[in-house]
Amino acid sequence: MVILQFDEEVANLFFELTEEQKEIKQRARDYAEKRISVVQEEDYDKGVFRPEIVKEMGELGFFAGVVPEEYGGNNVGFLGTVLCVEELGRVSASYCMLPTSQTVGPGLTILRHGTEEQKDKYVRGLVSGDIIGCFSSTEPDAGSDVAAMKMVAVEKGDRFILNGTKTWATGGSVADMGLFWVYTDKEKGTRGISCFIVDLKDSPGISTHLIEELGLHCCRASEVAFQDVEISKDCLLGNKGEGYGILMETLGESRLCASTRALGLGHACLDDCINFVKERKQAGQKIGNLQLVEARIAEMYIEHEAARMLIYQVAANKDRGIGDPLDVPTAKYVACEAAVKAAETAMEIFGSFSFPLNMALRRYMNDSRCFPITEGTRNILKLIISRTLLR
Amino acid sequence: MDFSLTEEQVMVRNMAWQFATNSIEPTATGDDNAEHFPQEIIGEMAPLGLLGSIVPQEYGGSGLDYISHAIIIEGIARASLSIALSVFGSHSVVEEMLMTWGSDQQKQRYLPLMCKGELFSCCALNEPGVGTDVGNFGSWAELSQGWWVINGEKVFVVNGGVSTLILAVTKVSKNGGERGLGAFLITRDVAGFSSQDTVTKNGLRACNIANVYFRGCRVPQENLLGSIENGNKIVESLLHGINFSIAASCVGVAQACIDASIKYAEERQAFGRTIGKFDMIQEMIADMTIGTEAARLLTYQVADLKTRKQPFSKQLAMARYLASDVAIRAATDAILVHGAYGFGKDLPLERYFRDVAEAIEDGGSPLIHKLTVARHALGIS
Repeated sequence: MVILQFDEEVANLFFELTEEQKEIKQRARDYAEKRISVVQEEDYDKGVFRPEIVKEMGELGFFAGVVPEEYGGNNVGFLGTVLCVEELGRVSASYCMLPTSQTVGPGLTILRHGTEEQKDKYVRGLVSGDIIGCFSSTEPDAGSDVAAMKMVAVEKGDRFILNGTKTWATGGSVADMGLFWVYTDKEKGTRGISCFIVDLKDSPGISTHLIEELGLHCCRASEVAFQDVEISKDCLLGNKGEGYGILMETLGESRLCASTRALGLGHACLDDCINFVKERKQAGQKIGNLQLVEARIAEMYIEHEAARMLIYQVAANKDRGIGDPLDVPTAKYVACEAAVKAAETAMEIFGSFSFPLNMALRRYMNDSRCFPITEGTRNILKLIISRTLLR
Repeated sequence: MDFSLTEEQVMVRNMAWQFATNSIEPTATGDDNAEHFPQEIIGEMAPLGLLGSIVPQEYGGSGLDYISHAIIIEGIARASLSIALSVFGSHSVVEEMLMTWGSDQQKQRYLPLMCKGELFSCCALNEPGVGTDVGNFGSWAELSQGWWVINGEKVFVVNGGVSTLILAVTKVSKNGGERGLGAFLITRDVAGFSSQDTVTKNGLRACNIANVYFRGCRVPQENLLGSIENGNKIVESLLHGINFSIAASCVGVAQACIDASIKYAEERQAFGRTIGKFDMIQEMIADMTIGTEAARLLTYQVADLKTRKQPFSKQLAMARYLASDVAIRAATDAILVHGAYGFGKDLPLERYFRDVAEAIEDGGSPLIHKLTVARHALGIS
């Protein structure tokens, strides 16, 4: 009989926050409530992204949690970063993607696998917000099945020539640089995938176009097409053929932030519902006195707390150097499903008091539908979990 | 118990699906983008009898049963929930109210024009802040020198900005005292009437939704529908009509989600095979199919009871609850089957989702429908 063995260290759940972590959480809350909520209200229906927000967030240290001090880091770690993403996500599922597209994705990946020159060129700028980043391995016909990608990099003297199309790159149209995963040797399958750092602004042959989406209208995804794009060999990150391993590491961390974005949205739904049912009267009584409403509020809270504990645990463990192949997919699954449900519960509770849907509810409903898809679909997460358990 | 459709019902289904595919589907996404109410499509529905499906032939309607009506709503909603809600969640409900509560004179005067599409109509019930909580309505009608004088505001009226005939429910007062509720047939040209369209909606963007205002509107006495004594019953049957159409519409959208998911699952390749070969995708398609079929059968059961003039409010609450739940689930899962493409606007899945999320807020929260079922089950009035 197989008995699940719980690592005692992993099971050691203490989330005592440092002063720095408490501070960045508060800073993120204040910034989100005072600045982002205002611009989002104005921009959401128009699909406008404001690049200056990247710089402002950089200055506030929102991208600095996961990098060492010499690169502008502020030592709040993954735990501090998820606290920050949660607070940003409580106000905006769009703008809380930035810590991922800046440092948790590109910045950290370059720090781990890059040369000194590559680190010097990009990491500080991604932390400060002077450089806008993005990353994508996805193609029109290759999503969860990464190996189905078609894009290739062909070596020519001291250059690589890139041809192909990456898509669903968050911020792709405004980014200065991006990490892209492409085949350098298609024959070798996943062992033939390499990762490249591409300067998007001064490489001829690159075109981007914005994708029209259901939600997340303030931080839009783009298709990035490469036609005979010549890049220097120095743009290769790590060695040829190491791309797939690098991608799995990057996704491990970006996935943690994806679950935190869902957590933030769930938090917002819970806040809004609590405030609403305490005020709103129907047929002479506050709807918060209705037992079915009480049940929904309790369920939302239970699922939200479960997600929060899982996420904080993963983050705290990462900061202690403890990893587990099951922890991130589990946290992401729970948080994303909770957020999808929380948005629907908010709809139920607001009932016909919000017909047509008000701005907050429409954001919760529309934005939350991305959670079970991006950075590992619901089904892929289940497969990772069960295949790890059954291995 | 016979679950097979009659020949007539099969014909009606084919006709509605064909019309939806040929005349609605091609422009549905464009109308959604442009927030355009396609008046011309409503016009095309009249000669097919779709604007008066349940109205008896003597009044110019198609004289169909309610199962046929549900089948038509489903068929139209598969292509556009906006049009389904406009025609069947508002215009047809007024027809049903006239058939149930109207005098012969009212039926003769309005129904033939409504079936021909020459008189488009809407139900004005919701009020700001109180929704359908009739006890707290702020609008009122008062008899003055042989006329009803109506004052008040109704919100989120489906077709409110594009209909000529408005059925409005208000409180009725006499000498300052309250006397119950009255339903009034009001034409758009009456002095003191105005409307304001709701813009930048999230879903149902091709549906006209408006606030309507009555400022001292004078309405002839004969335009009272039914009696003031029956005011509460009229409100109840009005909500029943709206919720029946929402249930059938949700079944239609859920079916559209199933159809799209099957098509995509048979085309999209991943890990060396079409994704329809994966058990987890199959499970999503199975869940959608099971839910949709159950909601459809519950809706047809309500339709059958309505046709046979039997009580149906418990069955309607069950159908309305399940259908809206199934439709939201199906739309969410259909997006997931399509992966990131489902989240994008190149495919209609995200429109189905936005439309459903909007439509199920009309006619009361799912929680209310659940409680209605429980109260019937427990015998609580």
